[in-house]
Amino acid sequence: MSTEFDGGGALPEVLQACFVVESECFAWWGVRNPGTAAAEAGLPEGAETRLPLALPERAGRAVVATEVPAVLVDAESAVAALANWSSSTTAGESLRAWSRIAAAMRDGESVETLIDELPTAGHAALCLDGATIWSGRAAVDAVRHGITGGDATDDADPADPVEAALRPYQRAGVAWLRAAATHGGGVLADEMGLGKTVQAIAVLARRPGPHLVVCPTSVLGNWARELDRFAPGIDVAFRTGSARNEGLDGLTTESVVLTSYGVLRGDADVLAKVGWDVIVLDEAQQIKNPDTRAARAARKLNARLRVAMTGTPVENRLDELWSLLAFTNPGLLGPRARFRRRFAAAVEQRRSEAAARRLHEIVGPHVLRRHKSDVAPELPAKIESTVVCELTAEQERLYRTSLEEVLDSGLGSGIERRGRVLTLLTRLKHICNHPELAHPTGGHLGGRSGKLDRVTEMLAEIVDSGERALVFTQYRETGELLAAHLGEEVTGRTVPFLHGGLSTTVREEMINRFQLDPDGPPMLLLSLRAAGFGLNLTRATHVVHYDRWWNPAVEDQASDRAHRIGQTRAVTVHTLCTERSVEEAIADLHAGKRDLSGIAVGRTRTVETDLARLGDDQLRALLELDR
Amino acid sequence: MTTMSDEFGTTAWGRDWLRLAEPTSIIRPDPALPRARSLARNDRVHDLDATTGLIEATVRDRSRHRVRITVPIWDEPLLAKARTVLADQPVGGDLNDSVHTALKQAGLTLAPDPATRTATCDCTSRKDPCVHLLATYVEFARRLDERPRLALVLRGLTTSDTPGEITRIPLGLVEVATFYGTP
Ligand SMILES: [Zn+2]
Repeated sequence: MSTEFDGGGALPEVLQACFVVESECFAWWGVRNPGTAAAEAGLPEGAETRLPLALPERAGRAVVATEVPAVLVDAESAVAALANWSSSTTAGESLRAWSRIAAAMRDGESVETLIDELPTAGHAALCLDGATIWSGRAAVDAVRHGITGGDATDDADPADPVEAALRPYQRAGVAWLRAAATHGGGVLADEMGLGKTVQAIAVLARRPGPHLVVCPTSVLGNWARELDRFAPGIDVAFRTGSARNEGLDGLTTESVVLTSYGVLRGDADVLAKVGWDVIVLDEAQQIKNPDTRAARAARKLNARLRVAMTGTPVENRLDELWSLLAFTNPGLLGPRARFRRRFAAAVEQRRSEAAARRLHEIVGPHVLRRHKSDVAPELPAKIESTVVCELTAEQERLYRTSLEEVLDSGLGSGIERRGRVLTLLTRLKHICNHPELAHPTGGHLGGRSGKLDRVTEMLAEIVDSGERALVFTQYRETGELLAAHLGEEVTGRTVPFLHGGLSTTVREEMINRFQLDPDGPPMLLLSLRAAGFGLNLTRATHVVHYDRWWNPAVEDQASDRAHRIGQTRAVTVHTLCTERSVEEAIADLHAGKRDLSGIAVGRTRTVETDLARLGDDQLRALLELDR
Repeated sequence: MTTMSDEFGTTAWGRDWLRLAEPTSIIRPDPALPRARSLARNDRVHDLDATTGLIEATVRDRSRHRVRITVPIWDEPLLAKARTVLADQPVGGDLNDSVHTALKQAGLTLAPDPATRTATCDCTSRKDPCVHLLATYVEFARRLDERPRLALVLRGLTTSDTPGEITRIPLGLVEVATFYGTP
């Protein structure tokens, strides 16, 4: 009778219709050859695909994610065809219900009562988060959007700059956030680069205000720029630095107040007195620790809709999850102590799948996390390449003596050991970057570091071909050395270096010149820490990591400055690695770490601490050159 | 002896049933209790099914044993009271301990009352309750911790876990029976 497909669900063997919310198209499915069946039923044919769907298993006890054969048709032609379709009794109820809804839309009638007639099969396409499906109402609303670009019920103006900028999956995210106002709010946890800010702005732009946006100081400028670009009609007020002491009385209902976590901590009482319409916490991992002042201050704020935005996965970090949801949906997870006993202990210590599943049922509707790979067709490719560089004789000599000296004099134990291991690692990494950093001679820089020579060649090639590059390093000294050398050898002009020691204004100028100025510099050096999040540097098509950081996620986050929404070309990420050295050891650790990332939950130990635990012999084996 | 009291009965809902296995009024705990906990912990309590007025389960000890527990269901006035208390709960279907308190204050019995409860096992143990019943109490306490609403289903409330007004529905809450339309 029924056929099983990838994932365990069973096909009903009857033609069905389902709306795929995040790509705004209809899917015909339910049989092995939906294209043929649709043609026979008099429905338009379309692109064949395999569609991830929620499907009842053969045994009929549960619904599981399953890939089924489907045919995709754009919303407009599908609705036109469905509205005029003469119902066939051999078709599934989902198809017949969509036909009635489409006819009502065509005739300008209310679809309100028809929504309840739409069975789950009509909106069973998996959300891009892979773990939920959109409700029938969400699907019907999305159809209206898909065919008109807006509709009478929410008076969207398709000419509105923010509406025009939204991609289908972002429109779905915006609709989800708007609907969340009925029960507090939600956590928008889309992976970095998927355009969380524009989704938040679309929500702010169409609600009455006043709104509060709290973000790290480093992205205040970015927020102001994006608000200006997507919602030029909104008044933006800064509540930072010198403007901080101005009263909040002058707020019109149009206003967005931009402020930092520092101000939130300091002025919690003042901000809590305002009845906000929407509050957005950007980079909300800032309140991941529920005991901190920022987290407590956030929980005291009053708003009709609370949005927390973060690019880090939260579902497996249970304290963080509790803290974010205690802000967005107070009461949902109950008191923290109960939550910890009930879920944190079961999921983190006993690895209980039942508890994890149940937790997802409670939390899933309120957290939206989508991955770039699932929205992949929207983004051009990211090509990753590791560039292995040799050591020069000078580097090799320095590296060996530094390692021997430290190991011979002994590393001690405990905190002392940790400090010495750290110092050693830093020194070895400096030597890989350039011997001048570890042992200054004042000599010429060329020909002394394998990586510097290689990166100089690569960047010359990139600049010659008219492309632009971001170069990341974790060390201020390395950045300054690179700026001097690359300015002299490659560009013939000053190479800007964006780091934490610069004022916000200077950083803003650098970013604008790189991203917008027609005569802007072809490359931008950035310190890994200063460029953590928020920055939009899509003008670059090459990203170079000059040195390795312990955590690959930090490197990925940096690469995403260029590889994000708005990028129209493929981005190449070049990671430099000095052969046989500590850098190669880090690369090996990354390989292992990437495999572990799903399991390593709630671990705060750093790699340095782990390395400090190794014995002298193991440390030597890891770091020495003759491996 | 260390207790594992953190593992089961992490909510007021679960504690109601855990107390059947380890009553607070008894000074010396049932010697079969560690064994019962271990059966529950190692997933030896299978096919636990809780419906209106009835809990059934299979406990795999040395052999398989069928366990059957019945509790009285609420009458219509009580059910109406319960619905009123539940009406202003946050969306999402989960129930905080404050709801438990509110239901109790409204005069509804949630804890299984030994006087009106029946509990049987098909094993030959002369001990009452036998280790299989104890294990089922413990396991049901865990299920309630995860899904407090089961306590209401058991008493005759048929509302499902599916929260009404949400935009995205987790797969675990998608109803199978009505998936393709009214069955
Ligand atoms: Zn028994």
